[in-house]
Amino acid sequence: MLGLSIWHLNAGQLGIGVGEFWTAILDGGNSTKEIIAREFRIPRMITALIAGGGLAVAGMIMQTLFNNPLAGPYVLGISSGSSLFVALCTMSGIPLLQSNLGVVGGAFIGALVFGGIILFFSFFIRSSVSLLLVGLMLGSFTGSLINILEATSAASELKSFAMWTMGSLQNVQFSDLTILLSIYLPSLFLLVLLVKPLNALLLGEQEAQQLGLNIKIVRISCIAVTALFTGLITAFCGPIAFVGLAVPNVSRLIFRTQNHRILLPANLLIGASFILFGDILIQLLERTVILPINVFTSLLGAPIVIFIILKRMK
Amino acid sequence: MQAFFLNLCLMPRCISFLFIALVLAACGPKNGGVQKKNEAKSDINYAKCIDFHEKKSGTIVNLHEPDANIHYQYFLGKNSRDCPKGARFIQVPIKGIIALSGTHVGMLSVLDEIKLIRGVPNVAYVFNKSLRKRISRGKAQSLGTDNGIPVESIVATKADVLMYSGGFGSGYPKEAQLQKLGTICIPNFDWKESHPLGKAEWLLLFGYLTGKEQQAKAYLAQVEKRYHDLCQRAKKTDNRPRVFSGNLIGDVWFSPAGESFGGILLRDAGADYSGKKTKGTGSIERTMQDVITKEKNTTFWIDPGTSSLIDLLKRDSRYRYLSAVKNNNIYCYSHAMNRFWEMSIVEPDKVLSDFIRIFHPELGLKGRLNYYKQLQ
Repeated sequence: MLGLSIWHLNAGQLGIGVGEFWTAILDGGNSTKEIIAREFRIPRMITALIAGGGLAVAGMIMQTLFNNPLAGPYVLGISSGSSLFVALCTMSGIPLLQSNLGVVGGAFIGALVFGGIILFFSFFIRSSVSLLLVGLMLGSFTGSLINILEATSAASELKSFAMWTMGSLQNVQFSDLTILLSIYLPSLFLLVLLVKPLNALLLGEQEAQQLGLNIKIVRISCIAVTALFTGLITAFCGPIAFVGLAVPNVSRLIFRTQNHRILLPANLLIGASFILFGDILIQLLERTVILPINVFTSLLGAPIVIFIILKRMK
Repeated sequence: MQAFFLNLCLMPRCISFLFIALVLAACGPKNGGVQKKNEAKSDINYAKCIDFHEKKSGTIVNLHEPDANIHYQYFLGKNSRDCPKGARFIQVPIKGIIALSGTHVGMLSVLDEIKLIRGVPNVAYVFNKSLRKRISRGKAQSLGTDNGIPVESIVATKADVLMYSGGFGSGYPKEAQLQKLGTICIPNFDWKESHPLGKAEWLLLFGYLTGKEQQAKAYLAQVEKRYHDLCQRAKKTDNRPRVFSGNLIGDVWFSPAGESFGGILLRDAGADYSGKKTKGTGSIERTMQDVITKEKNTTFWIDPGTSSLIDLLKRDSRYRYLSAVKNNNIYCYSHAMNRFWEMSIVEPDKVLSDFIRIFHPELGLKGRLNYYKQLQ
């Protein structure tokens, strides 16, 4: 991942030396190379690390919680909640909501609200499969609401929303990194506390309860952390598809373990490397065609999911 | 010897002529619209997607969809018996039209035929006051999004023509049913024309449809003269300020290619456009990094996609590194956006004069900017 990070920093069309990266950060230099290094390359690389690692970990939690390898932030309707709130912001016609701040805030609040709705249902619904179905229904419901908004909105607003749905690592600026990191790093610490309960959940909910695990609290914590990660990443990067679904499965295939002590760092590393690699390819192709990050994640993610399904059928 | 040189000089022209003739023959109308005696090709000088052949009994209109090699042929006349085989007959002057683009409204307003408009997609995008009044009085309809208009709503307007922006490789949805019900759909490729005067020449189509072709020709001749006079004015100065254009949509910065409408206007205005060497008549794609790298010291920024400097910096504060932003040398067609979309197509000379006023204050062009405005 370190190698990929260095490659990522140097993948752009403008050659920037190590010294220029240093002066860009430490001295706040304003030469073209220093501006590109500070305002574009470094934020983009850190965003890739956070987005890849965060979404992979969110997917891992969901898959363990619902004991289903096809679960993920999308399936629970959390990403759909973000999308709905962003659609409401971009198509509201209110300049403040349509601004970057409005969109970031909308995505974050949307994820938390829909995470809260799922949490609310989790108090009444004991079966994880039923809760998963509720998540799917929420996703479908928000999809319809978004369709209504799209049908009634102006072309420019529709374009703005469509572009957001393609995902991007380039919207994050150097000044945004403080917000991103100040939420991401403490959330990682919370995640470490979830390792033991997640391992216990692998035995099944009843067995975990017999081991003294408070299933309700674990569920609440899992959904809350997932909503936090998904909301944060979707707010700054848009909905990035397949990482949350494919990477946890790849991690299990590579490390051949269900132990979350291994899976947590594995997902962080593989998720970050997956997005870094994708974004490097995108930058290398930039002279010919400019592609959104979702094109890459879907192109590579979809075959992985099909492979997993086929492997399980055997 | 002189004759030999004359022949030598003429040979490339003959070859070019032969080549053009072959290309025209190959790309000619699919549906049998071959020029015959008693036909005169109407004077189209810049447009590439439309041509006319005037006959005694009417006018043949050929529309060529660029990039798709699809050709449409219409016969505009009094009697369907004169309609050539394969062409669609439209009785002129038409009684009513659904105009699905602002440019169609602008063209009809030049010909003083706004009263013919029976429907537009959305009243919110209409600039023409007279049309807005007609919509509010129910004499014209605001029909909804252009591709999703129900057939019954179209038929209810009793328009005999529906004009839509074509160029996507297919006709208008339910075109055949609409024709049976009395509304003929005509694709309009004005937006695909690369030369500003070529876009304006689509006015002739509206001229033939409304029986005001002479008025349209006279108007176009004036516009062409004014445009060329302005080009000559711009050539009088050696000042060639560096200009870049466009804005970021998603991760892609779109700006006009060198041979496009925008590229040609900037060239004719005597600007040193940063994309002037790029090929193509559409847009070019860049990354934000590329723009910041190459345009950091560029003097002017045209068409940033917003009319406010604060809004621009809210969208992305990294724009602050651009010299054009520091000096607020940014201009957008924001005097009245809807007026720009409606009228600029028939007033390319006014757009050009705006650019010359912006880039060459030393030429002392009188008057205010027509469409463009410095960001507030």
